[in-house]
Amino acid sequence: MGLPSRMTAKEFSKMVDAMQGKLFRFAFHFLNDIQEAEDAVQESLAKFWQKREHSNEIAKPEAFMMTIVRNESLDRIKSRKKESRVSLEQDHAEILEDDSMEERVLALRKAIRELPDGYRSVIHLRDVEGLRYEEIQKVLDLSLSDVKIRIHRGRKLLKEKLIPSNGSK
Amino acid sequence: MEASELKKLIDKYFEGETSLDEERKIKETFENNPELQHRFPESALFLALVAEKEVHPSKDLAAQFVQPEAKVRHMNFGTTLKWAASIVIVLSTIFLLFPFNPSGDQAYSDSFENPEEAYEEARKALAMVGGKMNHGRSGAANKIQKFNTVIPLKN
Repeated sequence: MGLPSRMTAKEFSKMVDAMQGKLFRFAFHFLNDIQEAEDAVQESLAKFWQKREHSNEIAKPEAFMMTIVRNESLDRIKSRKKESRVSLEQDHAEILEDDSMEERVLALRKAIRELPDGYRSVIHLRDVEGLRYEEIQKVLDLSLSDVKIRIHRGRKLLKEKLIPSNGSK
Repeated sequence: MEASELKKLIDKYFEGETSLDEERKIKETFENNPELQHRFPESALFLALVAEKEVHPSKDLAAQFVQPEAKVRHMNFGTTLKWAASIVIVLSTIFLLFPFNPSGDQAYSDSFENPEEAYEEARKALAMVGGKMNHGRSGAANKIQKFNTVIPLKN
């Protein structure tokens, strides 16, 4: 069900206040840069605010907002001169036999961010943010079966990362 | 949660068949039970997912959109009544101190237009009053006269 009428400034601020963490993390998982993610979110919020005249036609404002953030983030990636994902560390994520729990967790966090594009977003939205399949469908414009398949495959890839590599410290 | 139950849920998770509630339970179990973290290597993944949600922006992104709440003064009934009473008192005082005193022709708007006619009516009114007064006096005078009559004493 959409909003009964054009969204007021108060309603918009309330929504933004509740969602800003989720929107930021979503942008960050694309852009991997705090400043750029913040800019992407603020730009997206401004775009949504400009479209508020039609806010009553939007069935799920939150999902719509996340879609705007996604599109904004992807646009920024395209406009980057370098490779899309900027990683501070050149090594790919891997767990070593002797790694402590902290090191393992860190490695897995890298592995999540290094998932192929098609899987990374669904894993982020489901396993990090806790969105329902229907919500993920709306945000990423995917069918339900696509969402389920990508989650299954994404988790499988992460499971492979759990197996320690042969190397040790 | 028992280790065996946890193992089943983890297998179900990797098959993509867990509910949101079950996924939340797995994360909470590993967060709150360090001993289980060592028994299950998969715990690193769930702890990583929890850690990913702890990423926050460096500033309040909503700040530019948050509207300060407008101060709304609510006048209660008591206050309204006091104001109304004060106004009534002030107006009453004004009218008492400065009564409506029409001037000019307004003061005589209900009088006779013909002065002779007015005189005749006034004369009749006074005569009536006078007649009533004389009647009253005569009655009183008669009663008083009674006391003035000398009644000789009998020897």
